[in-house]
Order: sequence, then structure tokens, then C-alpha cells
Amino acid sequence: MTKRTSRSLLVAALLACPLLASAAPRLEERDAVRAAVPFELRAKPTGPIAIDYRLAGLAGEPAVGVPQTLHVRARVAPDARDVRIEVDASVPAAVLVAPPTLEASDAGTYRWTITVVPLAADAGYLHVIVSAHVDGVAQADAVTVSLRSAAAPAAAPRGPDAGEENLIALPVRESP
Amino acid sequence: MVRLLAVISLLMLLAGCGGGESSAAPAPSGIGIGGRVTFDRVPVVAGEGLAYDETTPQPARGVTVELVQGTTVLASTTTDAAGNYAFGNVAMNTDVALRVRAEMLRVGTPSWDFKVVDNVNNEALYTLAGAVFNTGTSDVTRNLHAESGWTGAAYTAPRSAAPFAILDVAYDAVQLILTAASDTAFPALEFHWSTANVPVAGPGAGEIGSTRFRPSVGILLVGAADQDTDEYDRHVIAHELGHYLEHSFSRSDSIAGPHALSHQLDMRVAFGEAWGSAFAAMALGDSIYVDTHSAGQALAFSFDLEQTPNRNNPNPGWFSEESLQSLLFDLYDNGRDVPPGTFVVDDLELGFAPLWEAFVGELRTTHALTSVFPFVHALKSAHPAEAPLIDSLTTSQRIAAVTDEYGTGQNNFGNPAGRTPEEVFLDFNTVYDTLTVGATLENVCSLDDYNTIPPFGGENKLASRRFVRFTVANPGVHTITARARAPINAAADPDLVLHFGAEKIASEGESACSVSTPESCVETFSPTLEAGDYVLEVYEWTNTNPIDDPVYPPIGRTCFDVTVTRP
Repeated sequence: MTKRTSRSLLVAALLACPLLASAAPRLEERDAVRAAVPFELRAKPTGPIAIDYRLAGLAGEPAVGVPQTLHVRARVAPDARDVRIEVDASVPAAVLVAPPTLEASDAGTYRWTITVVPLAADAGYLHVIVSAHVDGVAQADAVTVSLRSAAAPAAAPRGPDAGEENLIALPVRESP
Repeated sequence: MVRLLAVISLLMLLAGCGGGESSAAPAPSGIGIGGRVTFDRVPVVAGEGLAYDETTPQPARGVTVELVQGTTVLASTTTDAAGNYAFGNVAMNTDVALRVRAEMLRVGTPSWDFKVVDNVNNEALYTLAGAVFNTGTSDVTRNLHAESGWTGAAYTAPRSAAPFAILDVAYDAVQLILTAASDTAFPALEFHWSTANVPVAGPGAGEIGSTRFRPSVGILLVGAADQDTDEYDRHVIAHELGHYLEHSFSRSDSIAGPHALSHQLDMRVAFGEAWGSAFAAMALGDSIYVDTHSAGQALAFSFDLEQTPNRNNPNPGWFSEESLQSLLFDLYDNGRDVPPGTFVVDDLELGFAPLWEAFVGELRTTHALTSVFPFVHALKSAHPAEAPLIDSLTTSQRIAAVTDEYGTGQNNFGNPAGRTPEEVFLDFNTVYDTLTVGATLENVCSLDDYNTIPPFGGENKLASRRFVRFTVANPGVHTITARARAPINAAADPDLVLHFGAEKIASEGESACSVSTPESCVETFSPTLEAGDYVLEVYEWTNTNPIDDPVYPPIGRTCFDVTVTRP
């Protein structure tokens, strides 16, 4: 979070701190005050391999027919063996994917680039997996990259079932 | 089940034997319906992912079963610990159906209300919908089984078992907590799970980013097949339940952010994440955390909270998630960990109750920040006879014996990169600095020395944010100021967060200064303070950015003079 995106949290901060809110900072600073909000982005643990990525393209976001470069970085234990990368497209027919190119590997940090070309507005997702053997155990981590362009329609939620309560009826096997 | 129905029949028979006017017993007014509810549990295997071939039926424990007629609920009950349910005195010769709600609901004391809903379908509650049947004239047994939907190579059928696999983890968590606090009232919690939930943060339906706990929402769980599914990743679910417990019963000052086992983290993040994983291991009785993902759910990462000879924690200490999760689990269990080159004598087995008491006690009420220190201090205070063994465990993680909630006397400040430990130690050699109101505390240094390992590095690394404690004796308006000291590497932007127990307020204005005018790099604000103990968080804002931030990368070591004055 940067300061530029944090101002909306002012209200939350003040509501959370009635005692201190009565002594808020100077008026000229008020706009820049934000809370150190806990929990909001709490994600599940990361294992011995950790990946991040950056998608760069001419349009700044996936667009049909426009090559995109996916930069993938992974941090693994320095003594990891058999470090590999794999790429799966959720809609294979909707995207061209070039084989990953290893750009650098140094002290347990690996960098790859992957060129992708969306062939449809909704090109689905690209699943990137980095695997290795760490401490004698097969380990893998993955990231999922959206290739959906802004033009792709978001999935519309289904309407509620009939009846007073909104329920989903899943099949069940019954036996005497 | 036969025995259950026999009991139902006997009770109905006895109920009809009170009159005595006739030697013939009256015909029973209804029949009994009973059975068992089960679901497919797909086990996780470290290094291998989900083991579909080893799927077993498990009882759906504590879930709501309804007897329905059309849209009318005729009766409702809850399954027992074996998944059994029973309805008595049901009208004969009537068309009815059974419905199992993905819900654990109990009123009274203790109480809970857990549900699994579909976040891309109007938060609809998942249910198992049985077929309509006629009750006939005699007792009926109907067992219901929810299948995983996996048919050998893919999910080609509805994943009916998933909501109940999720609830099953909540059941185990509840049971553990009840051993420590039998009258617990659990705040309502919804699990938001969908097969459309992908590990992508975006505006699309199901783009939830990651499995995680959000206080205002509940626990979000990914469910996208061949990408990331968590319904059978029991430790992942229990870890997030640990965060729900922090929010509901204790306190966390964690600033969240990316974290991995080997990272040297802000101590609040390290403890919070360690608590989640340790709680999972305790609740599930399994020290191996596994998170499965990818095609066929056939890959995974895993770690063992018990230390093993082939795992070397490169950065042990009070700032290490890995150290703290092992410590917490070792406090709970009894076993001898064998980390490389050492042997951790873990003869302590406190069990869960003392840990829960510390969790809901001093960790919640402390005026220090939440970390391992108030937690262990609470344990040692409540169990002084165990203090030597507790000290032995903390020492094995390179955490000096805990003497107070502020970590006084710690001597391990991690492994900095870029500068030598000796250089860094000159700037960073206490967990908290102490300031006296009216005086100036010099050289409070925000560092980037633990923030240099790509691809991460960011807002939550060790020593980016420094902590200053002070005590207010005379209530009133106080002016708090942090002013940069020369030299600075670039225009500095000091920021402040003031903590008073669980309350906090931040002052994070944008500074206008340059390298040649460090004295203009200043942050100040004037809150009204009541008497008590405060913690001031002081940091150079850019040092909380990722190392490769394209606009505001960390500027590294930046020191401030800090004052708190009462005009």
C-alpha cells in the first residue's frame, strides 16, 4: 500500500480509535493519516519456494493479439535441487504461450520470462509452477496470472434458488 | 444405526404405554428416521498433493440436518460426533426429504455458528439435497454421503464433499478450544468457498487473491481445480481459523504482508503467522503443514513444525515465523526435535489450556505490541515452575530468556545483508527503545538491512519499523516528533504510528525535504493522551516498500531524533 492509496482508510482509523481520534493530527496532515490496518491482506503461508511475477505489455493489461511478457521470479533455498518451471493455461485455445526463458539464477533467486499472446478477450488464467527438491522433499509453489482483458465480462453471479433462503442444493448419495 | 432406531422405537412404544385402559398398546403416531452423514475426505501427502486414491468417508460432525417437505422444514437436528442423526415421531406415509446444511450451529453455552457459503452465488449456503421419499409405516434408515466429485482424472461431478471437509476442520478447532474454555461463545463465521475462487486478485467473480481471513468477511478459500484448491488442505484452513481466533478472542497488531519461513520479519507478523500454523498443528494433531495446488492438485509445499535434521532454519529468532511456530508447538506438545547440529530437549508439554490463557490474556491486554514476548511472559508468569523448560525452548530458537513483554535483554538481531552484523548492531540492538517524555531519543534508525532479498522485501521486514516505548504520567495534549538526522541517502519521509494497547493512530504525512536539508524531514502530530504506557512505531516510509519499487525504492538506513513533549 502506498500513501496514494491509503487515504480512504482514515475513517477506519478514526473509528477504531475513539480515544485518540479526539486528538487527531493537524488539519494539514489529516489527509495523509492512515491506519496501520491489520489483517486486510493476510494471505496463507508461503512454503520453501516463493514466487512473484510481473506482467508487462504494451497496453499495460492483457489485450487480444498483443504479446505480453511475464516476468517470474522465485526464491528457493540455495541448496534446492531440480528447480523447474511449468506453465499451464486454463483455456489453452485462448492463449499462445512460449516456453519460459531462464534469465538469471543467483543465490537461490531465479528469474524467467514467458511471452504470452492472448487470443481472446477472456484468455483465462496462466498457472505458473516452480518446483524443486528442498531438504529432500518435493516442493512446489505456484502463481496464477489473469489474462483476462478489461473487455472480458466478469462472471455474473447466479440468482438465488427458489424459496425463502438462498441455498445451493448439492447432490448426495443416499443409501439405506 | 440399528441400535439407534431400536431406541427410538422403544421410546415411542413406552410413550404409548401410560394409559392402562387397554391391554393392547396404541399404534405409534409416527416413525423414526435416522442415519449417518459422511463426506469424502481426500488426504494430503507432503510432496505429492492430494491423494485421491486414499479418499475415505468421514463423519460430518455437528452439522445441521433438516427434514423437509417441499420448502417447509418439519424438523431439524444436529449430527453427533459419529455423523449420526435421528428424527423421532415422524408422520407416517408422508413424502419428505432430508437436507444437510453446510452449517455448524449451536446455541446456548458454548455456542458457535459456522457456515460455508458460495461467494460467487449470492452467499448461498451449500446443502446436500436428499431425494423425496415416503416415510411409510416403519422406521427408516437413510445414510447420506457427499462425494468429492473426483472421477479418476478430474472433477467431473459436483464437489459436494468440499463444504463439509471445510467444516470438519472447524469442528476439530472448536473441540480443542473447548478443552481450554468450555463455555466459549464463538462469533459467527462464514467460509466463502467456490469452485470459481482463483488465486488471483481482481475484479472478476471469484478472484479472491488467496485463501485468507478478513475480519469483516470471514475466511475466503480458493477452490479452482488445477490451480489451487484448499478444501482438503486442512492446515491451511486451520491456519486461517487461527487468525479468526486472534481477531475474536485475542489481539494482533500484525501489519500482514508477504511472509515466508526464512524471512526476518516484523515481530508482529512473525508471531501472528506462527500462531496460525501452530494452532493448525495443535487442532489437527499433525505437525506437517501441507498446501496442495496445480494440475490434478498433484503438487504441494509442506513444512514440519517439529524441527528435523534436514531442515536448517537460516534465521532463527524472535522475528522468525519458522522459529516461533516450532516454539509454540513445542510448548504444547512433548517431543524431542532434532535440528541440524543440535538437539532440542522438549520435555515440556503444557497442553493447550495454558497457551489459550496467554493468548486471550496478556497477549490481548498488553501495552507492548503483540509478539512472542507478551505471550511467553504470560506463560512464565502463570507457570513459574515451568520457566526453566520454557527458557530452554526459547533459547533453542535463539531467543534469550523472556523477562518481560517488551523483549528486554534480547541479543539476537538476525542476519542483515549488505552491512556487517556489527555495523547493524550499532543501530539495532534492542527490541524497543525507551523514551522519556520531555527528552529526546537520538538515532532511532529505520533500516533496510533485512529487506534485500528479492523477490520479496516489503512493508513487514525486521527493523524497517522501529519501536519506542514511553510512559505518559500527566494526561493531556502531547506533541510527538520524528526528525531525520544527517546523513540521509535521499529525501526522507518519516512516519509514525502510536499504539496504546489495541488502539492505534497513524501520522503519515508527506515530508518536503532533501538530502541537504535533513532537518526538514520531519513528522509530527499532537494527540491527547491519557496516562499509561505507549509504543511509538517510527519508520522511514520508503523502507517499507519493496526493494524494486519503481518509484520509491527503499533509501536504507535513516535515523531520526524522536521527542514526545507535553506543552
